[in-house]
Amino acid sequence: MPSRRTTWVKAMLLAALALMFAVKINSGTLTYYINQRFAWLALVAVLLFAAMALTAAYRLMTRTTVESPLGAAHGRVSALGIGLVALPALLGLLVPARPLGASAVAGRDLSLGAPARAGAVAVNPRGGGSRTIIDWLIEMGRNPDPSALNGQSADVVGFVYRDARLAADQLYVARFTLSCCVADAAPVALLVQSSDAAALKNDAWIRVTGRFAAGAAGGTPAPVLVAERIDAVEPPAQPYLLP
Amino acid sequence: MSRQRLTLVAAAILLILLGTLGLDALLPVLGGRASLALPDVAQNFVTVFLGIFIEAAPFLLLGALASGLITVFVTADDIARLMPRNRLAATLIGALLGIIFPVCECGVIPVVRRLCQKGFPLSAGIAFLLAAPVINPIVLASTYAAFGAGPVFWARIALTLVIAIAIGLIFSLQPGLARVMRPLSLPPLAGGTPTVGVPPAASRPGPATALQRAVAVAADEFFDVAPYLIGGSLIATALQTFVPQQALIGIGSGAASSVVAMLALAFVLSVCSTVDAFLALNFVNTFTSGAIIAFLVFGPMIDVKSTLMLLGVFRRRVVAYLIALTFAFALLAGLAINLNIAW
Repeated sequence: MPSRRTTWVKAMLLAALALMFAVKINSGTLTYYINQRFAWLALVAVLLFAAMALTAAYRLMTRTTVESPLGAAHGRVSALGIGLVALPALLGLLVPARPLGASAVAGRDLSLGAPARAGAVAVNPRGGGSRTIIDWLIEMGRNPDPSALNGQSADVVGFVYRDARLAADQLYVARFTLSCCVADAAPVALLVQSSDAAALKNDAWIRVTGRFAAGAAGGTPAPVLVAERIDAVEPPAQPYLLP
Repeated sequence: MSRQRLTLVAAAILLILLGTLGLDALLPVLGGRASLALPDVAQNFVTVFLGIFIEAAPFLLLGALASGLITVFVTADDIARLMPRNRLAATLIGALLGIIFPVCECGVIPVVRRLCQKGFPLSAGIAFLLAAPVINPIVLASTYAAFGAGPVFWARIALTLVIAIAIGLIFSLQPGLARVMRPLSLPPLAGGTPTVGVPPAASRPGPATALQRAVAVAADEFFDVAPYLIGGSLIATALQTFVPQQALIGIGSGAASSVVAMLALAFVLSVCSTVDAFLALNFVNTFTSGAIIAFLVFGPMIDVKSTLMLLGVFRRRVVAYLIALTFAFALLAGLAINLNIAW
């Protein structure tokens, strides 16, 4: 049977975890971590963590013995176990929330730089509204000819990313796509050409309007969005694209 | 109302208020946006780690709650009465139990442990453990949404069932629970009768007390398994952050190498089975169909996160067998598909 002290520690950790989930939901930063279609599950977590914390506290205060069906050893937790459970609560409460950005692209180069392949990312192309980076990549996937989109106008939002292939007047406007949580995040991007490119910092959120033309990235022919206008924008509330 | 109860209600109200009201006002004070701003790599690490935890924790909690409810409301007699004596029939039921008991790979482990302690046949428990993360309505729906009712959808179902039942039957040769589960996971009379210390029916408490007990057991259950989930998430995050994915993708087109690569990817990524179908969709153009199907069959059974969780419940040797067997079966299945169907 766990000692009263262990039970108090457990109750406080459970409350801290309930708090961490509540903070993420309340501050709108839950979407930095998981696809919003799972947001209701985070609410379930708040309720269950809170219920467990309150039950433990109630039992401690009423001195109800928690006789375990598994015998005396059950219910004990090692210091390492306590530390591990405290970790997400502490990191979630203390480290400022930030979505994945340019610095995370490098390690997971799945569909960046080969826009034609990224067509497979999207499950359903959206109808209506302005086209996102994914929608344009799907278009490119349908027709690999780099001049297929010539003259079409685009208006997309993303963060600035660069790699070694780009010329000084080029950058990528990039987003991460998400199916489930950031563990499966994959970057997608459009190649942008602009005389102002050099002035824009990596990770800065921008809105690019312009028209496509046939161009090249590091010698490989690719459609390029020739920017007519680039505005700095606030990071969107939903930083990822949800295919 | 007693003073203790009053304190409790006050604590509850405070918690709810804190959760729903001005916490973002408190956050800069708690965190100090500048003071704890981490370098990029560390920040990305924290984001991915919290992402995995936030996605998985609710499933683990629901599994722990189910386990708590089983502890309090289901007796070993119930299980003995409902489960067929025939080994094959019991294993079959175990493999299909996910349809009425939808749990993913995080939630299934506490449930299996509790069922086995209550005398659920081990073969059925192992089949349930391996099959339930796929053979359940949520995952079947997401697989259907991603791939339609095509060969991938049916192959995923069929192979998962075959592998889970086969491995379940292999484990049915094992004589006692004591040789399979860790001592801490066993009932007090380890290795002996599966009678678990639930009070006899006559002294059974009222529903409110029983529910409270179930929640208390669920909390203990959470603390038993969560450290492994969190340790697994840390490893998975580290591998994601420091091992470039191109290293695996480069070998995507070989009949055998592609299957091994996708199995490795499934193990490393530790994505929840409810959404891994959408992830697999990303690889359809790059990888062989055998590799995609192997990924969808193996990932929900075994990955970094679930391996650590299994180690918390089962003996080390048993976990090694489980991994080796599922890996071998998934590899064989992927190879068979690549050599026969893809050509």
